[in-house]
Amino acid sequence: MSDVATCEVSPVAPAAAAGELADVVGMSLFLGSGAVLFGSLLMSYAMLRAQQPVWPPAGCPPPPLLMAAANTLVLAVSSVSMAHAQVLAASGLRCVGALCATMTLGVLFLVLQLPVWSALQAAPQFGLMRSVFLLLAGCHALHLAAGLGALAWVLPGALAGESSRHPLAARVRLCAMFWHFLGVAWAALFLTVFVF
Amino acid sequence: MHDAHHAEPTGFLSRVVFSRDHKVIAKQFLLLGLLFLGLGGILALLIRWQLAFPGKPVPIVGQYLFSATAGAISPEGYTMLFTMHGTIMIFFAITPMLIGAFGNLCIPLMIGARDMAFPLLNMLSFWVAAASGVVLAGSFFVEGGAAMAGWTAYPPLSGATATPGLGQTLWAVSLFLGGVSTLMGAINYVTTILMLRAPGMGFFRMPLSVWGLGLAAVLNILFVPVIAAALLMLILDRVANTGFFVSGAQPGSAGDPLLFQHLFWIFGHPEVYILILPAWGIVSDLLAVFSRKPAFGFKATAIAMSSIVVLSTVVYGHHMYTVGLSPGLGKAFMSLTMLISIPSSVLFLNWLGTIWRGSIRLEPAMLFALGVVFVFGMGGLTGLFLGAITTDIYLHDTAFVVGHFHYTMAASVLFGSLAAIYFWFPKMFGRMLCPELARLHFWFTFLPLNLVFFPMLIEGYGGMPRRLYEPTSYKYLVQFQPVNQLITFAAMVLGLAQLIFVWNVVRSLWAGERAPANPWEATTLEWLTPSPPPHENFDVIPEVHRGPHEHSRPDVPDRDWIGQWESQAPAAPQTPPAPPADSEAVAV
Repeated sequence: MSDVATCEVSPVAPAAAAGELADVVGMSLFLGSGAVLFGSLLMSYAMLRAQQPVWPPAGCPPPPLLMAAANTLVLAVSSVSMAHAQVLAASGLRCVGALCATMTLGVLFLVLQLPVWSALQAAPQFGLMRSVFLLLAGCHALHLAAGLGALAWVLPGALAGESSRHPLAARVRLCAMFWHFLGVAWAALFLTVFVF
Repeated sequence: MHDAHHAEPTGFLSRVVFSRDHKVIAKQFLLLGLLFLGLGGILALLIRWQLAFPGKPVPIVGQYLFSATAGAISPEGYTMLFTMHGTIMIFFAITPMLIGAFGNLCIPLMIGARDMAFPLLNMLSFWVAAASGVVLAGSFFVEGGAAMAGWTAYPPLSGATATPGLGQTLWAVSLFLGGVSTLMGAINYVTTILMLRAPGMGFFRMPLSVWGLGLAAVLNILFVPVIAAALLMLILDRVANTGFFVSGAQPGSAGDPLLFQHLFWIFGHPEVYILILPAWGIVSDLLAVFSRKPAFGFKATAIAMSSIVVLSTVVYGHHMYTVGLSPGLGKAFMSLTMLISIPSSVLFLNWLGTIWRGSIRLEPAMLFALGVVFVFGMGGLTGLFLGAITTDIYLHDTAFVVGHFHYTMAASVLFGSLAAIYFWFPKMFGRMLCPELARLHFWFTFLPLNLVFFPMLIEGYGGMPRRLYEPTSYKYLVQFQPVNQLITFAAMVLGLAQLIFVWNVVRSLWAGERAPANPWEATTLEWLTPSPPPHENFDVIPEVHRGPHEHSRPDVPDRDWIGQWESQAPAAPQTPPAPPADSEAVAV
């Protein structure tokens, strides 16, 4: 994603800066479209829910609030460790520990959801609650798995110290943007699906 | 991190197949689009055969394609044909040609960049598109055949009960992949335009083609995720027994089929503009080049296109007047829809202003650009009848709708693509196309095309429903059977005429005259490079000194154009007005 053919003729440093800026712009556009995706899903959920006389629908168990609260806490802490990793990388310090902490918390997030996913097997087919969870939490979990993949892509560079071609700080910053986005998306899900 | 120059790859795979060079990716998209255009055209001819000669065996190919029914098209087969024709033409022919091919070719060259901002992402964008095309084409061969729910795939028609086959699921998966590819491309285009413009290339010095392509990319970033959400829910409904669009099938389920229509058209209406904006931009540039005049109202055109982008996001309800919307909502959507005629008229008047008293050169690309002006005018005017609720309720779901959207999406966008091909083919491949064959191609496309789509408007006004299998089964439609046959014959001529184009392209690739750097005496940056441009396009990134259409300036002696890269008019005795060599790229 960061293999930028730049138009600058000037020496490497400003060209690299322009390339990093392009990466940030590209990532922002990507997150913008991600926001539209989650927005569309939430809007669909709102439209279906608004047509129901009661919520949760009759016969549906209430959403697992405890699990979701634990998940929210885990993801919030992981955002802090991600931000810490970004600060460390930006000042040229080793950020392996903070990255590993973020990844561990990300995995923990997915593990905490496992009981709910297995309980879904027993839920009535076509049930609205089941559908909504499958769609919203499922879509978020897939994106989070992709975020873990991105962190795994950065990790070797962090272990080896800064590489010359792809400065570590720039990569960590892109990961952090995506990770914080996942946190915000989850916060929206938590509030609309589980709390209210 | 980002070296100014990358070495040109040497292996066959990295140069031709998995290339990251935007010019190679443009050719790959063009080939993909043309192949699917051919396939979609064949499907259209089969649809036309059924409408002109209902139930009669299809000559020649029928015995192979429809062997179970002795060569005749069954109702299911007909439903499949029009579903796949629409899907293929919109998402796999027009999109790869205009946005994939010319977005890739034009954006970096016209803004003076060495390549896209993210070449690897660009390559992935093509290969995901190719994979999605393979999934779609493969769906013809699964049990039960390809998708049958119409290109709009409204539930419950597209639900697991009505269309249980794998084909409909593959359709949804294929469109989802297509969306991923489009999104990758769009992020690349916008980032490239924002970040990689050559020094001096302000937004109002960018050619209108770049404006159109860039605005279409913005719409893609905003609205492809909406259709992706709808497709995700459709796929889950089909394979995971969720109930988003299933209404009342089980206790506790309360899906809503209308939800899909909302999502589909929130995306679908901007999609119309995603396809037409690049064509508008290209036409605006071409009219200026071949009228040897600056584009009339250049800034107004750019602003009009931008305001259409904004308006296109709030008018989708005009596709849903008959689903039972609240009348107040319908009125709001109608008023917003009618507002679009203001910027559209600005565009149209600016085109007429550009050619007004110009020194018109009727090169093939210009013929096709003028063709766009005509057919887009037809499409726009017939759109008014469908945008107004009172007339739409009568015309809804008739052949009038088919005629209208073929004039806008098929005719305008197809002519825009062909104009682009005739204009940039020398730059892409380094060879000139034969202009005589191209003119023949134009007239044998333009005239039959109008004979195909104009009569549809009349049939629709006469009450003929679209997607109709057997028109003669209604007494009041029997009178239209000669019209249906006329359309079918015109469609056959239209189809055959495309062989002229194919022959012209194939002949030129092998034996065409070598193209000079600037065969049209145009002023934008791509004509500064040799034809075809080398790896990384420019030896030295040019500096931009002026707007994109400086033709016929009175203070420029001897020639009627001055390139964006030229700091001042060339000295008076210049013989001949040769395009400047690369060494002159950076002007003093």
